[in-house]
Amino acid sequence: MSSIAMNKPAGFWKKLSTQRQLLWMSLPIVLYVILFTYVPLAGWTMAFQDFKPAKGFASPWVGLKWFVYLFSDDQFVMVMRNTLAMSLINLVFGFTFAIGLALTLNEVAAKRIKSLAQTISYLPHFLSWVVVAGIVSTMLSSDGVFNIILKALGIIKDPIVWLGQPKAFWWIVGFTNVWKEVGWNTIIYLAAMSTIDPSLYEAAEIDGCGRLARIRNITLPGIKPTIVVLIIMNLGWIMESGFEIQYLLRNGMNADYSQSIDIYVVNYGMRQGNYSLATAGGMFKSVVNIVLLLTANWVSGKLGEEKLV
Amino acid sequence: MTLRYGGKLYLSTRSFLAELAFSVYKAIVLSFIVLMTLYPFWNTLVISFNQAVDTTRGGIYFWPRIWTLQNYKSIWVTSNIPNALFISVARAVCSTVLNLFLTTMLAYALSRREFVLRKPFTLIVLLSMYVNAGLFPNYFLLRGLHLNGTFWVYIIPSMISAFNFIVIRTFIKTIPESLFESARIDGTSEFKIFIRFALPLSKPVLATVALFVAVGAWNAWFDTLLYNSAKPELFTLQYQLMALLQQSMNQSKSAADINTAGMAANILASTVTPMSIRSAGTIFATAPILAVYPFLQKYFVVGMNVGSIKE
Amino acid sequence: MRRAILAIASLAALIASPLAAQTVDKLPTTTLPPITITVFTVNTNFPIPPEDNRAYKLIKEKLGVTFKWDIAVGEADQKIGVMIAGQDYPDLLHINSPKFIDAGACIPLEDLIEKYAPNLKKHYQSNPVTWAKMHEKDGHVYCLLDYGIPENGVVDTEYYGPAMFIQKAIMKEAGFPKITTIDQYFDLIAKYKAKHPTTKDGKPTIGFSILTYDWHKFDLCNPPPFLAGYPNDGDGIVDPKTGKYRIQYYGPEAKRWYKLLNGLNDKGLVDRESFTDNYDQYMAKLANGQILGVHDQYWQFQDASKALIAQNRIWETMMPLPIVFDKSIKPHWRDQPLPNLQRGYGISIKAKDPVRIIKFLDAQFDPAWYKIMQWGVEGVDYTYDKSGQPFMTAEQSNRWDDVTWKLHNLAELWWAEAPKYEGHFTKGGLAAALRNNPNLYLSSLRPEDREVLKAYGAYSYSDLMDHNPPVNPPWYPAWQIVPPDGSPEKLAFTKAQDTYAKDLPKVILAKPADFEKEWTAYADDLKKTNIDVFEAYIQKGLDDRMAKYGKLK
Repeated sequence: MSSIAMNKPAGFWKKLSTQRQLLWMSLPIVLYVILFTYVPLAGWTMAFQDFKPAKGFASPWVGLKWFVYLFSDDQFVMVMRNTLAMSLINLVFGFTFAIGLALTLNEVAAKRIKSLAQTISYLPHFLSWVVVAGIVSTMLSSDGVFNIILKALGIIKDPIVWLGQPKAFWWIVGFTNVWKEVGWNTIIYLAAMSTIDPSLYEAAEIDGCGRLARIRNITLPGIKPTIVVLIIMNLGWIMESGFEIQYLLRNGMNADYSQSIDIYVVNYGMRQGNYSLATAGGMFKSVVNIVLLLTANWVSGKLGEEKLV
Repeated sequence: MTLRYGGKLYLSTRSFLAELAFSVYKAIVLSFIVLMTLYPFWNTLVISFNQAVDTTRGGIYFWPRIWTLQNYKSIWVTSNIPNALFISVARAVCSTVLNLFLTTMLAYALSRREFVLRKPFTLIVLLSMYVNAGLFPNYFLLRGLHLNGTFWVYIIPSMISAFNFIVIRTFIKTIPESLFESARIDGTSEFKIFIRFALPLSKPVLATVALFVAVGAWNAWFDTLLYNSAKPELFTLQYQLMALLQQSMNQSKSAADINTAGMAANILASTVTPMSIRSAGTIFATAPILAVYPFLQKYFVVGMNVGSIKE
Repeated sequence: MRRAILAIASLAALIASPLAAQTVDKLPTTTLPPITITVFTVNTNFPIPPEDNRAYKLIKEKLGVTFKWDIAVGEADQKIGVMIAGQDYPDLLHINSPKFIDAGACIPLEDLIEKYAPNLKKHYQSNPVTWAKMHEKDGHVYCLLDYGIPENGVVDTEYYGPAMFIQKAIMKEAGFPKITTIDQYFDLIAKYKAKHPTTKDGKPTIGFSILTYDWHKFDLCNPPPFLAGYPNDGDGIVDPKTGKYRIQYYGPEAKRWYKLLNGLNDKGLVDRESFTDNYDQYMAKLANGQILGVHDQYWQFQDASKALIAQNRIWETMMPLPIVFDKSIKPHWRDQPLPNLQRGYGISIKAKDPVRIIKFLDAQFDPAWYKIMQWGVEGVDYTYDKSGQPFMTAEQSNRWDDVTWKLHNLAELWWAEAPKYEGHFTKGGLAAALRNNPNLYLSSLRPEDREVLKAYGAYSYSDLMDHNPPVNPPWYPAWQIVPPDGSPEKLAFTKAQDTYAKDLPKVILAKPADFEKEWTAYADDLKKTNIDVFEAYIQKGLDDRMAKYGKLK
């Protein structure tokens, strides 16, 4: 990247001047991104102040106070553990279920059934978390569907109050996320699959390939670039384990497993008018995310796979 | 031995059985997924048609206990829905068109391997997805640009999405270079190549991205609160629905305030509850998307097949 | 179209009645030039009124004022944050936290009130302690309190406050006994539950439930001081003799209460799902008549009562009881109305014409205008009977269930935060609240409630809770003292709240043999939260108040 610019300045400018058209197509947009995303980052200085809205950026400087507060809090380790655990569960579930469903849908020959199934599977995406959390709570209550089924199957004798089981919390969140987003997440894979050359399938069929062989040898390789790109991007969201669903399903009994970094920052930062702590938390998240993103990107490149940059 | 099934010829019993097993698997998985994902939506629909106070008792699963249109009626009469719908549609359309055009143009330029600024530019755009300055700096920027109190505050700050950029760029990279190459040799300008080839060839991915952008724009409400809460004529549908939800949530509390103050307490005044308003609001806000959706779907189910162009 | 018809209909009604025309003509008016007042409010209870609203039209016509609204929906605190940071203020600010005042967003009002607002002056200075409390630390008044200053006697009807609630059916079945102690209370519940393990529609009955979801969790920790006879000081207890404050979360009263709950849980009387249910699930249990007893504040579960009333299951609705630990304790559940400090409209530093605005605020603070905004128009929405009491026909009364009617005829949005009368307009005169006037109140009671009230010789449920609540000491209540945003005190307080939400379920659900162990663990966790900084802060606030307004009574 910049090495080109530094080592061969003459060549760089010469090349650039032949690429003026590309420059005009991209530079204004990049400048726009800089203005709307990076210029406001100057506001991260808030994290080093005791920011009060009335004083604005003239608030008193306190150095690393809020970072120290964050990292030395008894809850910090627990909060990080919960965030990473729920993120990883989301990541693994998110990919496997969405790809699995997309592959299944792709194999449905009847167009009407396919598009109907697809449309229905998106529906939960449009529901707010409040609605979904309400349904999940009802299903998991002691007289809810879940306990009824487990009892009927003889797995449990007495109903279990699932939301009062701390260790179950991560998995409840994981499956709720799958439920709400699996259909929506298939969109991108189905779009990628629609670009695979149908003649490849025809040739495979003539060669006598079975369905699984076709999926393994044609469909999956066809969408691999998409999968790799999405995995890298998602690794960059490792600190974003979600906020609302945890917030809505948490209670005193599962508090040790439900508190994610976002909940912590909102409760002890935003809600208290403590914007400096909130900003410090946000900065910390961004740094971790970017480090992971770039690492994943580098590893992927080393493995000869798709890269983002 | 050969078998015929579903109009196809099978060379062996084994492949026939495999096919049959797969059909059964498909039927089961799809039915399960469809039932699972349909249920919460169906439940919301049912609650939206059930009398609000009765819903408080719980136990509404598959069918309303007491039918009513009151929940929809109260949404309609207490706010200016036609105007909010207009603003939301305008916002979704403007955002989608601008986003698609600009993001694709950027993706096209940065998909070109020979472009010397490709890497730094890509990095700048990509990382923008992972940083956020927070409430105050963003507010000051948009206020400084005099976007507050205008319709444009809905559009201008979110014209580029890094996620969509990566998605589109990944797609464009799969378009055979040869297609662009011949045009370039003819001396066609890059912009024209983008308009004439890259844009139309990207239809399947653009349909996907359009759905993402439109739904995102459609569901946003927070910017209305920050920048346009004093301009009822610029309220979006989701903001209106949010306002209604809050009205229903606070009704009991206000009845209490009112009585504490020795004011007119009217115990049965509220005929709506948060759950009912939320359900009716969800249906109200989702219906337009579901109405538009089939038109988009046709693009990515059929798609424009890149492979077939290769020949 | 619909709106137009409605508007015409209401206008026609207005003109048709000669009495109505007369009332409207008699309204106090102004000769000042018309003005548009921009108002920011975080009161999200009411929609923006339509153009044809009757009350606002009259205000525009007679008082020359048009409102432009800015309602903060959703994340009000963040909106207020950016408003302060950008100094983007309209003319009037609805104050509901110390934020605007601390940020210097409002202008001092005491001189304006003195010079231009005789009505407001009379109202706010009717109680010297209240007037003193309205002055902030810098000696200025910034906020026109929206309510909490009753004049000419308190009105005594519905009870919305905290209490130990019990199903009316239980009291009826037991022959309406007069009970005062917590043991009697749970005894009744246990017996009833044994006799009625399910409700009429077959759902299991629940002895005692606790609302713990999200911010509602205060119900988990509020009962001990009440049971020990202390008034509502929220998270702490103030010793009435020494004026010393202490956090009550792990005091002896608390231990007594949770030990009791722990034992009741062992007997199966406590709802184990209390700690995982969300608000809707809690409400559903109440709305199905499953819960026999609960500690709560009535406004939190009013909707559940409505559902039972709609099914005509009045006996399964709840009634409040002033329960205490033992007979020697005098209950103090119900308190006198409190001035709603730092709540109401304030004039912003960006207001163009503060004098014109305060003059309007004073003009609208007139019983005639109060009635237009909240009662409706005489002769159209109510009439007076021979005894001079307001009277409504069934049709007029039913209109109040109609959101559309209210939206087009009353000025609820403005009025909700405006200064207003409380108690009675004049000594021995009409109650300020329409439906609190005796004839209307009594006719609204259901037969079942009449039976209950008659059995206890009470006029109303407020009366049942306490016929004559003691006068509030000048420093009361401690919960009005709140540490500033982002301060260590507030952070410690939040931590302490998180801790009790986490630990108390364990304490309550533990085997009785493990109670002491869990209790010690809970007390240790609380100590770790630094809650004593919060305690010290409140103590200081109380000391200041005692120094200023007189010590203990």
